[in-house]
Amino acid sequence: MSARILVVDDEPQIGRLLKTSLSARGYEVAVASDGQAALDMAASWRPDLMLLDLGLPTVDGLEVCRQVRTWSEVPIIVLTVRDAEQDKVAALDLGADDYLTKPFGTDELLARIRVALRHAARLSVTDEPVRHFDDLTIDLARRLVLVRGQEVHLTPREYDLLRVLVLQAGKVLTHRMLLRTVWGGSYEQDVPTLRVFVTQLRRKIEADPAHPAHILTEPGIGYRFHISG
Amino acid sequence: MDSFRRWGLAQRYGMSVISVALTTLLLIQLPSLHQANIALLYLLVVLISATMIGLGPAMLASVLAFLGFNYFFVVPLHAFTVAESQDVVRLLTFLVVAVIVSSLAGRVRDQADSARRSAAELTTLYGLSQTISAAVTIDRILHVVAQTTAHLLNVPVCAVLLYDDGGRLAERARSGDPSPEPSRQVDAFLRIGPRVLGVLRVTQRALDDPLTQAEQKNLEMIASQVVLALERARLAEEANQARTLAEAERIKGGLLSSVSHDLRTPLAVIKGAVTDLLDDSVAWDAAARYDLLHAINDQSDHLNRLVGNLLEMSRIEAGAQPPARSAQDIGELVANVLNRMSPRLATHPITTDIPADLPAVQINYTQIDQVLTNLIENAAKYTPADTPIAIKAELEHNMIRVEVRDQGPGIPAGLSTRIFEKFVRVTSPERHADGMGLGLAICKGMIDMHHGRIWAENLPDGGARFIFTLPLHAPANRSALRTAERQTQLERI
Repeated sequence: MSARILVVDDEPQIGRLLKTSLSARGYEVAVASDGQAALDMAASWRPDLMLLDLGLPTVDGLEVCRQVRTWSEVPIIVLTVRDAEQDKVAALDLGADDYLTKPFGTDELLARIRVALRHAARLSVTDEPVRHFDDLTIDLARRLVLVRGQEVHLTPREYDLLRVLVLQAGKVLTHRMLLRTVWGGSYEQDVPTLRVFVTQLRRKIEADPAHPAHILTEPGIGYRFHISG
Repeated sequence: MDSFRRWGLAQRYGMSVISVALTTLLLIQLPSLHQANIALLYLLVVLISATMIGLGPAMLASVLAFLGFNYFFVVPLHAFTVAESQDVVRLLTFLVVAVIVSSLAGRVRDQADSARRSAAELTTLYGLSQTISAAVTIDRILHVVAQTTAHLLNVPVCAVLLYDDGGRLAERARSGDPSPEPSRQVDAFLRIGPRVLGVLRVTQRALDDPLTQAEQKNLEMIASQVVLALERARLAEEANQARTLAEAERIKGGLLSSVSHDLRTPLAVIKGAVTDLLDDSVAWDAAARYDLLHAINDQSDHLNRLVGNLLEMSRIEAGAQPPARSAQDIGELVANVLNRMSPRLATHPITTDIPADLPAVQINYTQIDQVLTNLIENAAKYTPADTPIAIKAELEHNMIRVEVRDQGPGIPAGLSTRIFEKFVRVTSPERHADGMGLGLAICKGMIDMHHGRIWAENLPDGGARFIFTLPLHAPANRSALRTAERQTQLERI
């Protein structure tokens, strides 16, 4: 069965283009042109993924994101023309999985869609304790991390950070979200600490810490654990 | 009792002399009073003068009473000599008691006086500081300061002078008129740190009547209050400027995000469609290819229109030379515009009402074409499908009046003037793919160049109309005049 994608955008040209592009790749596509319609269709049509524009009539894109997250874990990729980082961060904090800034190439969009769908599929089989990512293996049951077969020693904080990233592999995690989950609510603003720990973690698990292959930086926003699309 | 206070010094001393003299006369008339009683009566007089007239006169009264007592009532009578040693003790005791009593009572009185005076000063100063802290203009504050100071220090003239932006000292408020007679002035500087903001200047009551120390102190105190008021006014002014600046920043930010949204949306479609077509893994059928290419074509045109509008707007803002004009037929222009726009107007029935005998008008064809296009485009964009749009032109005095009327929702209250400003849209920036809120601003700029007028109004039975007027003969602009002059000169040669 092909995946269902709900496109939410008030610009009719963009809606039409995305429908053409995604249908051609075998996805089933529906378009909603305002926030209320998006919420209705998310509930009735049950898409496997949502492409959500942030500036929408009736109900704002951020609000759509928040409301959908109250009852569904459907992957949400935010589309925006805004450069303002805080809009993307707000959407990601509200539970969006990824973002794309317009204008974007179709190849880029398709790659993000594949990652989000894979991530969602993985979520439904979460009981798999051992995860493999190229040269990196993580045994969540035994708190073991192996790089090219060699066990690597991580501090408890480093392990927690890696675990959070791996459990949501493919998804963009904001600074605030990582700090809250790993360090607790009162550390939400302490981005420098997070940077230090990410650097240490990369030194231990990346083959080339200067060009990381696993923990990717999303400039100004947060980090993403890479899974090939 | 208060009446004594206003007396001069001589009057007060005179009073104390008179009261001792009267007492002596009275005592001489009374037969055979005991010396002790006489002394007590004298003491009473001394006490009364001390409490009522003041310390100095009471001292004088003490000495006079001592002398009177000695002269008239101590043996030997009518001589200042004393016979018995007991009387010496009695007289000296009397003198000491009288002096002590008068000094004590006098001091109490002086203290009461000064307390009353400072209470009055405090009330005045309190009134002043209340005026200063109330949110009133700086000019009003300075006016009150001048008045209060003159009243408090009992001086004829008080002026407040401040340094203006050019560094000159200028009078900002004054109480009382300067007299032509020579006078002496006392300045209190209005200082904040090392900076002097101005001067609080009072004129002395007379050349030889300088301010007392207490008055000097009051003057300094008022000056410091004025400095506070000036500082407060300056801070308020700065806060106000910061607010205005922040508001301007916010608007600018809003504009940038709206322009960025408008320009990037067509780009997003173009880039998406092109990358689709470039993708070898998909075998596009003819219909899909056509769709994608059509989208690219459409959005390129749209982008071109947006960029054109932006350029046009900056041209108008830069005050570019009004382009050449020629006699044009409005009916023909309307027909041309409608013809060109027909694909976009398919959903709106159009009616025109233009008299065939309308005189030609001096215009720049391209600009008025653009104005009409923008107005019709707006009418089509902001009204529901299938509602009619009516275009009417008529002669009015020596103007051509053109009207575009729709039957849409009308212009929201309060916006009918603002819609001609740049970047102002009836809907919020995120809602519409079309336009940047520049269309009407461009119309206004172009009509202004033609010395015409453009405005919008709602119709009583729903819908809105946009009207512009064009003078039949445009007032010659300066460069045209110069050319004409040159021609006349050439003809003369």
